[in-house]
Amino acid sequence: MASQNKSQSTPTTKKPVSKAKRVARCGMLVALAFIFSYVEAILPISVGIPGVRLGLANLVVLSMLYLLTPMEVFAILLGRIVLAGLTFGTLFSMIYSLAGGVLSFLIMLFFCKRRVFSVVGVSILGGVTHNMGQLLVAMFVVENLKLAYYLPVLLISGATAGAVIGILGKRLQGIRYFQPET
Amino acid sequence: MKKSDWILFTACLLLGAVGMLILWVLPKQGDSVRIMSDGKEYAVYSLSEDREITIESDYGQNVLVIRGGSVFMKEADCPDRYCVEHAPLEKSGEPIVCLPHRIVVEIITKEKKGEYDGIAK
Repeated sequence: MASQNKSQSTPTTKKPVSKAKRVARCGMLVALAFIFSYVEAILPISVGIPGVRLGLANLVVLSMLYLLTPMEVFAILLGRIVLAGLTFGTLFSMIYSLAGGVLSFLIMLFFCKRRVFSVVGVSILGGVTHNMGQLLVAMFVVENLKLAYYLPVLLISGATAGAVIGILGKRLQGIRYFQPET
Repeated sequence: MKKSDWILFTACLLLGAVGMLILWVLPKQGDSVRIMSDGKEYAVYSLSEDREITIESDYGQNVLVIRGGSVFMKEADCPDRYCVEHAPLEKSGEPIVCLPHRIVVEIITKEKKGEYDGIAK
């Protein structure tokens, strides 16, 4: 097998991960992201601006982008949004989460493959694009471009929240579990 | 953290700060309150007359108050109530938005020249 040939050339032995393990791992990570959403729903870190959140659940997506396949991460993201939306939100808030989540996922995926930014930079981009995605949907919903007034605030809050999550993500990468699959 | 991360972060903060500065300078004195519901104009009221307006939409009910030259959302039966928490508006610029009810309230300057009563979009 090609993957085993490859593993012999590298010091760490890489075994192919079974499908069952992949599914179980994704399920566990959905649960973890869901817990993060829950923590944020009951303990909102308010900075005085309504709707501004840290985005703790993005920590899961961010760290897994470096470890799992894009499809797995996307599945985790969707699972988390649907679960959290049904539990703490409305169908309406789910659409916003989806817009922000998918847009930031795509941007983070693009930049984590290129080594321009470290995890922190990727996370900042994720935070900013998450807010932009939500704002775009909001503009579309109320059919009013005036909402652009919130752009500067969302830019700053997205970058700040993204940086915090990114620094946490950086710490996680130092932990053995978060190193590429053994 | 890479150097590029710092550049990105600083760029975001700077851009945001410049944007906020522009939006802080931009607002002008207005004389009317425009209520938009679902992308369409719902009503325009004078800012100088105190009144309470109940806005009915397919999504719910909002109560808007015009008092002493400022306008604020007094009540709303939306789930997040961000519109109620929003600071009263006195000038044009940042609108009060009730996203769940698709309502946008803003201060505008109505043309006093008669025939230009409508709003150019």
